[in-house]
Amino acid sequence: MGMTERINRNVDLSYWEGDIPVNYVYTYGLGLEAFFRKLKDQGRFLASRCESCGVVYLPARIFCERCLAEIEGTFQVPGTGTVYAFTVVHKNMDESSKKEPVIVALIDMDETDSRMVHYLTGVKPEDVKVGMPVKAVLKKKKERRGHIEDIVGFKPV
Amino acid sequence: MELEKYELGGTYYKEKDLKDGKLLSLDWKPKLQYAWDDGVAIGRYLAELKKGNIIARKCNKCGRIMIPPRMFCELCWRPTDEWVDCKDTGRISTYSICYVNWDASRIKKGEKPHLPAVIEIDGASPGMGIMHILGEVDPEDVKIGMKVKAVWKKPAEREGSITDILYFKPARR
Amino acid sequence: MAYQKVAIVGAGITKFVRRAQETGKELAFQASKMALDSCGMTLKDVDCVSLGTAPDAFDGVHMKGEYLSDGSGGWRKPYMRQFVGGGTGVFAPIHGWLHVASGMFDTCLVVCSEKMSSCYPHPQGAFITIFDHTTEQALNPTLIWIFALEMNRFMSAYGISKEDIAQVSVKNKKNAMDHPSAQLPMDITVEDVMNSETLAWPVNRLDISPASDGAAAIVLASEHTAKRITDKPVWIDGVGWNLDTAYWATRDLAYPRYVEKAARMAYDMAGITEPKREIEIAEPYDPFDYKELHHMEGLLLADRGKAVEMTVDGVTQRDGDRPICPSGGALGVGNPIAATGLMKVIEIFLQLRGEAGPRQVPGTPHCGLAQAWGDLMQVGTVVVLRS
Repeated sequence: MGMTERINRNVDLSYWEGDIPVNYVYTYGLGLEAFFRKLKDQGRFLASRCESCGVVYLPARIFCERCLAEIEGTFQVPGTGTVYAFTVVHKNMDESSKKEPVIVALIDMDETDSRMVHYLTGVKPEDVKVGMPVKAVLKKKKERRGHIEDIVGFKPV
Repeated sequence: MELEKYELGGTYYKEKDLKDGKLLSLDWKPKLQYAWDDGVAIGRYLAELKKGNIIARKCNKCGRIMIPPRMFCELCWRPTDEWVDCKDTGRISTYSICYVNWDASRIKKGEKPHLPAVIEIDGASPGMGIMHILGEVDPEDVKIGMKVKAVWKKPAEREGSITDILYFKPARR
Repeated sequence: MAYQKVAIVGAGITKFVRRAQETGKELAFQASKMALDSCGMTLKDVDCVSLGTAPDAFDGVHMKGEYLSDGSGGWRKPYMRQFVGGGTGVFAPIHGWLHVASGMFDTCLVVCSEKMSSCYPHPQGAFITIFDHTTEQALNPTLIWIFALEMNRFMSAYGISKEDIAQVSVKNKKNAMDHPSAQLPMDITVEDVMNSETLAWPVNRLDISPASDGAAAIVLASEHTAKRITDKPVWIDGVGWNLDTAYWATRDLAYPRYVEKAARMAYDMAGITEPKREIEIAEPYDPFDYKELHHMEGLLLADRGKAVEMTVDGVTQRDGDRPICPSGGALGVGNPIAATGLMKVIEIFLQLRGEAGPRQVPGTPHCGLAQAWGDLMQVGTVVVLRS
């Protein structure tokens, strides 16, 4: 007899339901902690440069991933950039339709070698172009909590 | 390269530092839900539990009668051959007296400790144990080697689950 | 069998703490950087990377191998992640060894990083899936059940008392007072262990190692490269790994057969015929105090049921005839799941080079062993090291 018995009636199929009931609290780590504090308190963007190979990371990091050198110190960058790629999203994760489509973009950040992922605001999807210069729009200081959503999105300059 | 000569990484923080906002943090509660297919063997195992029966599966090559039942013998690496009914009695192979829950919290005051055990089921090969819990017994009276018998849910309440057996209790001689 | 000789030439480790501010990436970096610095190498000199880290449920990070790759020096390098539960820390050097012994690579950076503190309500909760979802989870089990059941069987099979087993915890936590990474170094007595909170009889709180965040790393090199980098290479002379059935309730819980099989594989390769005599120092995995004894027997360093006598007689102390867990083990230093075993490998590495500082055992040993264990208590991983 083979390992599997052919099952012809699907009422014979049984399954067991369950879940993995844990939740998570993430610390930001030494690099991102500095970046988000600066964003929350002063609305500014902190980057860091690897002195060994010259790569500039945004958000700030404590080590260089290319040469594994330690990076000390951060410096401010303008928080402006150009659109590297974008997409217009129409559906939610559960496949229901969004009321309004949102534009998500990868943005080459000025004075750094890094890109950020965020929304584009204040622009219609049909007007977005790769290469378009944009700048960050932040929430008011009292609404900021040290979170990626402290940035509302990026809008065309 | 003595470790003592280096400045080691890793910076401790107290949970209070998160609550006080000294350290930024982000919460996430994922919704991870699953519907695991039982497969042929466990499907039958659960269906038999609903009927008040413990069923095992035999490999004719090595002769092992295996619980939980499986459609292939992992030692002989071939399909198993027949279903075998077992008794609902067995012997305690090992047990524990547990005062903590799955999330490391302690049981409430006055709540009885849980008594998990590995029970070798009569009718299966020696050493074939299943994990279950003990009941109707004081922790001090539990002994390894003690004979036990299953206490079943009422037929109407059974769902086709390992919990159709409520617990195992000491068997009368 | 034709393979290259492989040595450990450098090591790095972070502190082991209950909660670390650093992300898993940053912990991996701190250990990796220290490992490279310790032997004067840069990332350019690393040919490939082997990473060990526990399943995604701990940090709540999916694709954890990729997530940790930047901190582990994996950028644009041949990179492989492996995981066998707590066995990972000793499996990682075996995995790295395969890379170099095969002749495909000259050097390998082996990194293990763990951040358990992100998991709420408690990292123990992430282990709930260790039980079969259909036949076991409905009983509302907790991870400690498995250890308590195994400890009880072990005690009952050989007539060993809790007091005697507690001496392992006393020894290791005291040893840890000399380890700079230690999370729970303490000078306690058997009475302290016996009086500590009973979690699941026979397991008390001071019988267990803590949940930890931490990372460790070692650098492996082939023979000719190793001799250029350091004048004290430590050779990986034997590796072994073995997995037992997942139907854990059908196993003989009093004896870890899978550890014996892994040990024999490593001993054969290393040409060891009398482990009791030839293995001078060992770091078996000790997440619970009884496990040190359980594993000593599986490693054939003690006869069945007799490892406890060696502890009681002081044989396994640092100044005894057969030092076991001179580092302080998981019980004293901490247990960040994937990294613990690597901490033990690093301890043997340092002991064989005479560089273990205050933990150094007298009469620099030449042959030592590290062993780890994990998954559903089913994997044994062993490395035999010689100077």
